Amino acid sequence: MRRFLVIMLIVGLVSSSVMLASVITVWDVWTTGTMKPVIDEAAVRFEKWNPGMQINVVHIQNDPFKTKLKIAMGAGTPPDIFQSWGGGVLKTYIDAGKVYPLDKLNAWLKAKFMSSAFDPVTFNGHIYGIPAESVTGAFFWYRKSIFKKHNIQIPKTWSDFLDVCSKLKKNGIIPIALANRTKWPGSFYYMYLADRIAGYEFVQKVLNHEKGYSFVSDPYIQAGKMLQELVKMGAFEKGFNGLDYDTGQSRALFYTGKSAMILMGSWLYGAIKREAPQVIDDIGIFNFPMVENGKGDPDDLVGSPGQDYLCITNAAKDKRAAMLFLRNYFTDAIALQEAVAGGNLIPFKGVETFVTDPVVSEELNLFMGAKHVQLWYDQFLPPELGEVHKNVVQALFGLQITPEQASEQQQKAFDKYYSK
Amino acid sequence: MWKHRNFKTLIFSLPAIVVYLFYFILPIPMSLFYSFFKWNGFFSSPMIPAGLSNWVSLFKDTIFWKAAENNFLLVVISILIQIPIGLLLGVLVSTKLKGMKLIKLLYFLPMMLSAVGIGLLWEYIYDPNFGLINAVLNFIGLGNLTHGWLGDPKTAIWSVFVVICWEYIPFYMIIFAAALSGIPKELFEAARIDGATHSQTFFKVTLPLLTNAIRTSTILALIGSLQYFALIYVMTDGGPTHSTEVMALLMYKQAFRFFKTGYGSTIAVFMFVLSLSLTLVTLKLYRRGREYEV
Repeated sequence: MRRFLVIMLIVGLVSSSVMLASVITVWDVWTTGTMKPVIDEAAVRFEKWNPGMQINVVHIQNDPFKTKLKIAMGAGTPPDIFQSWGGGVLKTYIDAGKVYPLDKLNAWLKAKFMSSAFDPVTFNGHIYGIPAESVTGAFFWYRKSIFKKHNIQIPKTWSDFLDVCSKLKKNGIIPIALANRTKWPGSFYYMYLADRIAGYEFVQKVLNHEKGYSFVSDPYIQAGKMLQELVKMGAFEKGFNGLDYDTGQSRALFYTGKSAMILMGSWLYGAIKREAPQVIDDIGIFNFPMVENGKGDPDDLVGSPGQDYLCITNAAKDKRAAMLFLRNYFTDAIALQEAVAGGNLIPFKGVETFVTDPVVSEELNLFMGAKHVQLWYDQFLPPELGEVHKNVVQALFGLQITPEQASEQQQKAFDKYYSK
Repeated sequence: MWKHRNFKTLIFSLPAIVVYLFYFILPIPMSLFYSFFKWNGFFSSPMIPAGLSNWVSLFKDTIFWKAAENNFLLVVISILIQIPIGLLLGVLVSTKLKGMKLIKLLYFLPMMLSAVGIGLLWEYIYDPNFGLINAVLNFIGLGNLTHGWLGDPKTAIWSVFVVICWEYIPFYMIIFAAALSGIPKELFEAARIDGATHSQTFFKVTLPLLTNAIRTSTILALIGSLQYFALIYVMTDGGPTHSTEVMALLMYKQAFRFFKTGYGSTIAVFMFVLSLSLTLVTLKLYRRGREYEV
């Protein structure tokens, strides 16, 4: 009986302490990546250091996450902290009054992180998110052994690049692996070509729908033509428009050496480490080649200065606790070290001191050398326009529309959207 | 006494009725209401009255009509391919031949897998580089027939339809097998004694007695095909370039990806009206036909 009473007492105490605890729910998309254990363990440490606080980290797969978050936001039951890619989608939530501006953390954020890191999450002078994953660019990843075997140099210009592709093809290797069902992997080519031809400022003006700047212009039409040229020469494997990046259909080609290159964001490195560690030493990266007579700076990148951001919702009951968790997370040396070791360059000042891996260090160099980082169009734009852009590029890849039609279709959607 | 019993029935079914009303019935008028607004789905955001503009865009939306066309194609395929094959298999597995129980189980397997599992499985089977189909084609020397099945807008929709048939034929097989087991043996015996051949028995006895099952299957196929979503969402997400779009997927994308709840609701209401009216027409047509009751 006495034992029973003691047990009851303990149960009572435990449950009441749980009730007193400030529970913070975090939703992110790190279901498999190197970031998953980082945040999970940081949450455990945070709970230990701050008794009475409880962190619930929920990992949700990328695309279901987007739907789930939208429904939760609409229904008024969002998590306290959610992950965002910034840009047009985040702006939709901000305009609906769902996101808490991090004004109280302003001074700390500015002191702690690289200043460019906040571009995708700054609206009307307020910062809404903390860059939590990595500076990210899309690079060409290549298999060193294949390049060496066929005596191929890293291409600097577009015509060099075409030569590399035809040389690989002649030797029975698929030059570039591409899985374009989800459309964003193909969009990289279009974004880069436009950037290399016309330069960052021009692209920005087109995307912001400024007067006198349009997709129906030489740079974008030329970008479409060059992209289709690449398709027509057979630089990609068969049926790429039906392959799924998420299930690894392009990565498999790259890992097995059936293809020599893949244009992909920094997150690929973490994937290789997990999925094909046997080839990790055979991987190199280079920036997208320059286009002859192009106005774009060949050092510029398409990517994101933070990729995955953590934001606080207005619905969060205990915003101070949520901010405390985020602050702790980014001052937690173990978490930062683990993140960087996994290939995630969180853009805090002094990240280079944590880098030991040569590929990661090369990524950081490319990133530091870039004067501009153009955010992925599909994140930069409102969701509707991002979708039009991706559909158009997929059709370009499928040779179903001409570059002129592609430009017209995108511009028409922009004109319609901004006339509202 | 009666009253008391009715009361009890009501009390016990109340939870189910509440859930049904709230999640199944209420959303229909709600969607109709939303379809007259421009709204992003957040309760904190304003709902801007849009009159009939959502409906006008629906009728002008070429992607929507492409989706509707695919749905109708699926209806035709379901009724002309899935049901007849299901019927033949149903008759086959109902025979007393040896090993039929096992075959029935094997044929029924696809029905027991989740749609996502089936979708991923076939995604790999169709993979142009590592997939089973192209590997077999290469192996038997038909390498020139290999293809990027899901990547080419011309073949993508048919490739998905094959998988949908593979998934749903067993469902009809079971319906028909169940219906057949309900037919008294004496009828077949009588036919045999009268000297009917196998095909005569099938067309003059079996088929008429299966009318009810065929009707049920047709209506299920009709509604199911008009509202089809799962495998397309998993295997192609409507692509490449909308070639495999269907109405339910488009509704989902508009409402939940592009934040256009008003337009998404418009598609939903259209689907509801279409399914309902086609079902009523089909039922009416069937009623004209003679019914065989056992």
